[in-house]
Amino acid sequence: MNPKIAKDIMTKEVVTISPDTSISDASKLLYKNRFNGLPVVDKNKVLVGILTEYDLVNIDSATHLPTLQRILRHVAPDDGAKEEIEAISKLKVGNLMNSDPMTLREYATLEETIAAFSQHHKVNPIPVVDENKKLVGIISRSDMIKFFTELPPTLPESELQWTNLKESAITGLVEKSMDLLEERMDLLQMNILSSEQAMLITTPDAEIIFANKAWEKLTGYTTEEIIGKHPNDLWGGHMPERLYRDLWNTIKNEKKPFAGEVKNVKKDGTEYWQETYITPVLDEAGNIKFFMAIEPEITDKKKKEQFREEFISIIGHQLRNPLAGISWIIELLSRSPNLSEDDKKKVEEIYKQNKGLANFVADLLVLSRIGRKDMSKEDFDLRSEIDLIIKEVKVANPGVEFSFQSEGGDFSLMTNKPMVIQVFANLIYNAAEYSDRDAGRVDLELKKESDGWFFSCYNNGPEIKEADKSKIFSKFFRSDTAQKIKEKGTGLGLFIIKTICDNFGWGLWFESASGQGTTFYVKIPIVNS
Amino acid sequence: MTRYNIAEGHVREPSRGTILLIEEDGSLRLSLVEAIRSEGFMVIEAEDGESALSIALSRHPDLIMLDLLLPKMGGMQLLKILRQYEWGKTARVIILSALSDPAIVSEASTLGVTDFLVKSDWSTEGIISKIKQKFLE
Repeated sequence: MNPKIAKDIMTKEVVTISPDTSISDASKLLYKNRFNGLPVVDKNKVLVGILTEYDLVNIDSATHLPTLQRILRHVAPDDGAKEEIEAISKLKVGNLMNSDPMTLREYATLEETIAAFSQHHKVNPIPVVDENKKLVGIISRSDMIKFFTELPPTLPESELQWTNLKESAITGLVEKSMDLLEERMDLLQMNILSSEQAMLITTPDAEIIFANKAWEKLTGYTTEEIIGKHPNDLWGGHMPERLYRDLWNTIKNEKKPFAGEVKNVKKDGTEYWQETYITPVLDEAGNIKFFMAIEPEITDKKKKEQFREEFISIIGHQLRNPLAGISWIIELLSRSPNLSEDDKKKVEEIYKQNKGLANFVADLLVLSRIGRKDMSKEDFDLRSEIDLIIKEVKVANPGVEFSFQSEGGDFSLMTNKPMVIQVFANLIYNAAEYSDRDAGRVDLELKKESDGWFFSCYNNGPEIKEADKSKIFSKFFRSDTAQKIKEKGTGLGLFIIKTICDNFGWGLWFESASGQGTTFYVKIPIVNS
Repeated sequence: MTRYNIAEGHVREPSRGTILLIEEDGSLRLSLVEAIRSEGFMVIEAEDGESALSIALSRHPDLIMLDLLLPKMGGMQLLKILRQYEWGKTARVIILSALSDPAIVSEASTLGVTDFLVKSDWSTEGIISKIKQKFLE
């Protein structure tokens, strides 16, 4: 449905009052139903005025809020107020109502309707009448918002009972609902409620006060389920704590927008990666009014994804095929009996260079796959995978002694296996290659701890120099030692596995000291083991 | 079908086995064919998926070396069709491709292919030893 006129947006079942209704009854109706205003009609349903919250609390009107509240609470009034209360209880709606309210015709266009609300800040709701001034419906700001967002408005007073209203609560309620609605109107005017774009609004304390349909679609939660809750208790909380600290510091303390990619979990448990933009919206005094989170349009993301897939495929095939071709032809050439020893060496150099290039392409392909949302998952036993890797590394490094200790039974993981293998193969290959040249040793351990699994990978080779320690996980960093030991390294290995670990939310770090070799550690946080 | 009968009888005799090599790229074929032949295998070459399929079904090679990105019919499609034939169900296949996407690798394994070699990771020597291993199975 695509409503174009007031008639389509308005609420048709309208609660009305007559000019003879007592103010007390009308007030009860207002607060009990959390109406912002009640249309006043005569016996023939012709609109004669409107009574709004604003009329009741207006300082210039015949009553004032504290007195009214006393009536509502049926509390024995103070002596001095007695007369006043008697006067108030005699008041009728006709005395207080706005008898010349702004109205909309049922065929008013959407534009006229929006204009009515945005040009008259305090007007809410607006009665809709036919040509005979007969009331046919009513449009409130919340109807407008509902129309734009397809969401019921959630007002902060929803849990309050009219009978228990505190004085401050009523004042606060009226102000707050007005403010909130105005803020929402501001948002509408900022034109950011496109239905394709997932949007979330929270209080400065990260309590959710608004989410649109696209957000529901994205997370699988309905708005009712998430209002009043904290994002970390719903889809969030699956990234390293550091990220959330950064995020919070950026938006709350620095009051600056945050942009980043986060891993969230849908209601049904599926993980997804999402670019998130969170911006604090400030008031005139520079205080945070609320936070607004926007996730970019899906179609746009799809395009990017497609581009990435194509890119991978282009690199994968277009580069790898000729690389393999060069390397195989060189092999043929090197077997030729007519080749001089000198030429053989040159051919070998070409082969090495080509191998380096092939390694680089392989690394690039792994990198481009990290964090892909369609990464396949499978169930596998980490310990047996490590066993397999050790076997392979042993073949390539026959002079190195290996030990592998693991305790604690079952190590089955449910995640993307190739990525996991990438991490452990890289660490174990590195350990073997960088271990002592004459009496290489690699000691591995996999064990369970209270908060997760713990893997350590020791080698007895030269230590990592102090100056290199901070750079070891950077891309294209190759220490002098590494250049000596592994001539054709790409400088991407540790960077890649660090990226994978970050992506999985795993810890990866190392210790290295002179005479004590080097140990790399992996921490896999397993919540329900 | 009869077209190949003579050739079949002719080639089987001296060779250690027949390998159908499906590879579009000429220089890759050149180097592989030479390496494989030098080991005493008979090699039949195919450049596209369609002709490769008809050769496979008529000549029943002992091993198929299959690339995935091929003209006319992709390698994965070829494999699926092949598996529908009685002979093709158990035919030995090694995939030799530039692709290494985990999704493709796992699709291949559901089609009974566990040897998935990424071209640029393998030397011709390594490929030969893989082929020999396959003939021992």
